[in-house]
Amino acid sequence: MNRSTDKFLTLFQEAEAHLEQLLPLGQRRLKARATFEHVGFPMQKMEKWRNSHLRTIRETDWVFERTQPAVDKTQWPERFRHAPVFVNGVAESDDFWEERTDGVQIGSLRAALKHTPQRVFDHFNKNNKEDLFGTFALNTLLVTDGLWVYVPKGIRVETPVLAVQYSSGKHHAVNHLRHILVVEEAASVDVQMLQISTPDDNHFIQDITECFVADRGIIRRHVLQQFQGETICFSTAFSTQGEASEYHSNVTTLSSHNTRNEQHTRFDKPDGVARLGGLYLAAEKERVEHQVFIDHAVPDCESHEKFAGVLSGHAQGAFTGHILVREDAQKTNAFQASNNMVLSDDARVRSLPFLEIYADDVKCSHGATVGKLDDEALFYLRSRGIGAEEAKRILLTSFAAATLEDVEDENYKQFVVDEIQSKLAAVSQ
Amino acid sequence: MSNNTLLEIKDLHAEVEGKKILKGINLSIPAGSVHAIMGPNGAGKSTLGSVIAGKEEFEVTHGEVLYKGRNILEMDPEERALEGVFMSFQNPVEIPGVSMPNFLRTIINAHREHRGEEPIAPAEFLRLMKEKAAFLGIEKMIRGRSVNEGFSGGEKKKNEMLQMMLLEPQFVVLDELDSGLDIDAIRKVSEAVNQMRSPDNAFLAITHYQRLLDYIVPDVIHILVDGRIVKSGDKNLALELEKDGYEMML
Repeated sequence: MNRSTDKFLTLFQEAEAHLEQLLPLGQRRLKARATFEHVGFPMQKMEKWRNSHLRTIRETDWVFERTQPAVDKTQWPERFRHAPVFVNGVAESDDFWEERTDGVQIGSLRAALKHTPQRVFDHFNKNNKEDLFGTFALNTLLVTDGLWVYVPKGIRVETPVLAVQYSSGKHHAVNHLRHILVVEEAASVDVQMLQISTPDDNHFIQDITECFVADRGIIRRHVLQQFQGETICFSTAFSTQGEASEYHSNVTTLSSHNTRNEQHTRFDKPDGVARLGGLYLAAEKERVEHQVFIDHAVPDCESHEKFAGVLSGHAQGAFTGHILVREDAQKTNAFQASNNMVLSDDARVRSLPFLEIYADDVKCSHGATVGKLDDEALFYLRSRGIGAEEAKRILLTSFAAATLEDVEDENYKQFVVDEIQSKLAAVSQ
Repeated sequence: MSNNTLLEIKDLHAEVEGKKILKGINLSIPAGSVHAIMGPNGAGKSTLGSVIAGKEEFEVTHGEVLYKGRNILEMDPEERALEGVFMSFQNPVEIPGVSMPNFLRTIINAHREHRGEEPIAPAEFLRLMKEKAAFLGIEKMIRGRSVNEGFSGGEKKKNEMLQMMLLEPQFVVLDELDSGLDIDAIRKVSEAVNQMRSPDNAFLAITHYQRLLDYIVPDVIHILVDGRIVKSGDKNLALELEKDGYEMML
């Protein structure tokens, strides 16, 4: 058993009673403990963990904090200041729960477990792959709360559902969250989440989002990450899709310390579409990684991946895009692009496409670029009277904004572009 | 330098990666005139344009370029542009993700700010952009498109003319304006230039072929060979060239 595994098992033992009090999962935690013991916490040498930074996790004595800090919202983007907040893993409001007349449920997982336990357990862990990586079983072991969204058949939720995942504290605490988004047949929802930490934060956050998209349903998931301090965040989404369904995921990382984003998508029925985008702006010694796994298990589905990074200073970025096209998945269309802009000599980026194709009638493409700002374009803009700094900012913003092309909510898109612009103004100088 | 001189080039030498390209250019262009530079491939025509516009890959080793009496070689490209120097590029670069209207508004406002004016009102901008784009016949294509992205050769050149018309520069370098254009497009871009000609501004048309000069009639033609101006004359010089080729100049 490796050191990290041992440490987290001890932590669980100490916190078990409190965890169960917060979110009673009973046997599910014990089962996860067995799986975690068996699978173990990931190790650097593992193929899909090579680019992750695990040393700090291994060397830190993690704790479980029982008290919640006061929340300072003044530093947040205005858009999210009135959204429900998860503070260090638990909803700020004790009973964050809304059940609309049309049957739509929006609330915390803790509240959902009280109001609709059967439905929660019909979905909890159904998409999570506990035996794939130890981190996923660990999440079940330590989870305290998360966002619950349920949309019944035929209902289209018009207003985006906003939430904030907030982390603050300097005692090396763990925050483990589980978000569950369920849309039934021909239903749709747009969820927008801000993940933010305070400058003194040094928590280890692990959030898992399980998305269930039924036939002809649509889930749009947007995440904006703004980690300050020394926050470590592993953020994973699992999605499964029904017939002719759509799943959109867009993760924009404005700032980070050590972030690993994962997306696991599986098509269970034909004619599904998945559009996955990610952008990270990494400066100084920031590390950001994207791991994407798309399982084309059935025919006639399409997946589009559009990821980009802008790196400066000593930043490190990585993208691993694994596309699996199973033998029966004929007429699959899978496209993958990972484009990176490296602004300094010391920044590093790794791009690893990984295509595993067993069907013969498929269209798959992947492309990876690593480049610098285009001098010709820079000169063109300057020759029209635009100053050098402004020209750089325009080019970087347009490069970065390309990952937002598939975002439907124009307000959100503009909001993120503005955030990108102000971050780039700082980075490009 | 006469009072009327807008641009004066004095003994200009330039090189790129150690290779000497311009070997002592002298040129005086008064306001209200059109000068043409003709010459064989590799003579240094485009280098001259790029040096005037301020492209950094060319190193000026000697000489001056005086625009309104100021040496613009000491200015950044953006400063030259704001002072009224404009180059129409031979191969305008595509800039994905930067929309045409945003780009046009940004450059107009950069110039307005430089003059101490307020940013252009949105309605006024739209009216102006539409009017000029309609004149050039590119009204439809600039909507919802990124700068030069997916434009044909002719559309790119028309887009250069659109920017010229919106910025109203005083000194314009036309770098191979006719390259890759069919006769209708040449007529149209020439019309844009001729419409702008005034006693206050001047043009330097760089071209390999004489045909552009049928539409943009120059006051003076200079023949550039191997980094030097070997002959200057009136528009009839182009006709001589057409007949005898550049061979006679070598």
